[in-house]
Formats: sequence, structure tokens, C-alpha cells
Amino acid sequence: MDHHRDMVLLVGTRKGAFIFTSDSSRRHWKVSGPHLKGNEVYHMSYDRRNGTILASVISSHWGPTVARSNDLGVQWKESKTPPKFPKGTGLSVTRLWQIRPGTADEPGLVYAGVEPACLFRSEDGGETWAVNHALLEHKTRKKWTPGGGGLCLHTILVDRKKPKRMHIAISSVGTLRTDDGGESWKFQNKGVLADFLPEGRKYPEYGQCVHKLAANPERPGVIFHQNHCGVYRSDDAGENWVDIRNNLPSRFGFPIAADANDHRRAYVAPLEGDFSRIPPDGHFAVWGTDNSGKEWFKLDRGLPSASYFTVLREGMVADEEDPCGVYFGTTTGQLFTSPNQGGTWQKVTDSLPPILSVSVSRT
Amino acid sequence: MVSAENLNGMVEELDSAFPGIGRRIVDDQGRIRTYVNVFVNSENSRALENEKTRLKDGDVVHILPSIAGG
Repeated sequence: MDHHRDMVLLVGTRKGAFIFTSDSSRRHWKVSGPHLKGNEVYHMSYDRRNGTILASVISSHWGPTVARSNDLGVQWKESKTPPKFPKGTGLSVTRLWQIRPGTADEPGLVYAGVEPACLFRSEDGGETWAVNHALLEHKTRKKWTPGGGGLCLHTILVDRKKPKRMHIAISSVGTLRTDDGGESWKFQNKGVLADFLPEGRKYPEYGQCVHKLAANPERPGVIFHQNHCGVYRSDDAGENWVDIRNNLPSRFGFPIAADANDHRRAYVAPLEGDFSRIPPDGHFAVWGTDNSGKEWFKLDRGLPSASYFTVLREGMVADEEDPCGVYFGTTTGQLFTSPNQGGTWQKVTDSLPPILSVSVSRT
Repeated sequence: MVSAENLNGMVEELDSAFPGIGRRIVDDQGRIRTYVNVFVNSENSRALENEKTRLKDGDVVHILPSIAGG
């Protein structure tokens, strides 16, 4: 067995994909790439059910598609029928924001979130795709408005304990949940502020600008939520949200990550605010909590003291090891890893193209 | 060599012969992609009838990526 390939860290950039591998220590990474050269790789997932890397690939000329590799990037195969809206809808997929395998009990099932916002499903490991009609034909769809990144379905959380349950997040529509495998969806934005709306409408049923959701895989009902207007947590699978900004330097940011070993632990990367999207005090830091967001602490050991990094919504992730590893990539090409819950950071490289996404898995 | 009556038909024929090429030329609704130019007898199809541009025997079609990117 090649222990150097115990862990795989998938980095999507504006110019292609890079694949990092490491042993379980997660301290020494080998890199290959660029793969899918020249294309924007918005997101990748490692499908542990069959050892396949799933990648969302966008060519500015030739449009979006899904590529798959079952040999850690040596060879890639495109989907036979990539996600595509039905004729007559007037819609065309412009970006695939997230690609996510189903649960271990559902081999072959893969989901993709796209722009304009919708969900696609593949039952053959990503070879062919079908649109989710309940979302496509949702009665409120005409009132959905895009955030700054477009009208994108950027987050898919599949509940490992209840495979028919799934949470999705759309900017700027909010979060929705299905309990019947996508046959129907209900909004779940109770308690989430939308303070860019007029007085009296600041807590709407939908229209919130959710930036990212993250859930503990063993306690999937506990969800952390980075929003345009706050940081939130739900303890009841999205039914209610509580503001957990507390002592964070800002309520604003994009990524959020959950610690798989401790449902009280999460990580954010605050920016000053909506109109000043730079790290507070010119110093990028990850902030963590170990008590469900009641208090936050700065995790910046090993990060440069002056740093204006931008980390996009898919740019930070946590693994499922013990202790939890945390990873982030910046739009200026730096990749940092921490094998100890953000306690210390190691710069793996500072010379990649702009990083759009990071994803990590045990192989 | 294709026998289609218009550009839409031509893309469909091409995709049958070379699976995957169609989605590179047109989007989900069959519209020519923004950064792809299709010329019919050296005339850009955007100045004609886009993907509905009619074809006749002997017409020469060029499919070229446009200048774009960053």
C-alpha cells in the first residue's frame, strides 16, 4: 500500500486542477498538475465509494462539463451527457459550483449544483445527469435574485444518516431542505437576517444571501452557516438558526468548515465587511470555536502577519481525521494546511493560479 | 461533409459523428456559445440568422474560438 496516498487534497484553480497527496500525518504533500489544463475547476470531490475524482470543469469557450478520474488524475473522462437544462426552459448551465457524491448506501449517486441555480443528479457516477424538476419548477423561482457571484447553487449537504434528506444553499435565495430525495423542497431561513432588504422585510421566508454551509457528518443536524449578514448555527437540521457571531471581528466572510470529530467545533475566515472585503487589520486569520460559536479564537500561527488573502466560499475545508485538519487556498495562489485543528499552519505552496476550491478526503 | 439544412442541424449531425462536440459549439438551448464564432462562407453567423442560418450545397462552414479569456 502506498501510504503517501493516504490523503488526497484537491485544489481547483482558474487554470486547472492540482492534486496533492500525503500520508496520514498530513505534513508532507506531493503535487501533480495542472490537470484539465487551462480550464476553470470550480470544485472537485473524491468519491471514496469507488476512488474516483469528480471535477467541475468550465471552459470559457466550450462551456461547462464534468470530468472524472479513477487514477488520481492520470487519465480523465468527460461525462457523456453533462448537466444540461431541458429545451424550452431558456436556461443554460454556465457554471458547476459544486459536485458531491451521495452516501455509501447509494453507489453511483452524485449531485451537482449549478448556475443558474438548480440541482442535477447522476445515478451512474457522473456519466449522465438529470435536472431536479422540483427546483427547476419551484413556484418562487421567478423571484430568485442572484448574489454577486451569480444565481448559484453552491452547497449540497447530503445527510449520511438520512439519505433522502439534503440541504442546499443558493445565493441569494437562502437554504432549502428536502426530506424526500428532492421531490420537494422547503425554505429554511428562520432567524437569518437579510439587512439589504427594506424595513419590515429583513427576515423573509427566502432571499437571504447564504455564502456557505457546513455540517458535522456524524451529527448532520448541526449545521454552521456563513452568511452575508452573519454567522449562524442550527441544531435542528435547519429549522431554526441562531446568530453566533459573538466575539468574531466581523460577521462577514465566505467559507465555513465543520470539525468532523466535534460537532461544537467550526472554522471561519472573516473579512472586514461587505464594502471592505479584506481581512480585519490587514491580517488574514482563520477563527475557530470549540463551543458551538459562543466564543471564537484566532488561529494564525504560521500565517504571515501582513496578509490580504482572499479565500472564496469553496476555498476552505476540514477533513475527517482526528485531530481534524484544516486547509485553505487563496485567490493569489497560496495553499495552507493545518494537521492540528488550525493550531499551526504550513504553507504548502504560494505559486498556484487563483484558487477556486479545496476539497480533502482519505483515499 | 454534412447534409443539414441549417446550422442547428449541422451541429446535431456533427455531434452524432463526434459525440461531445455539439455541447462545445452550442449551449443547452441550442444557441451558439458566446465565445464561439461560426462562419458560413466567411460571414459570421451572428450577422446572418445565428444558429438558424440556412445552409445549401457547397457552403463552407468554419467553427472558430473567438479571442477571449484572461
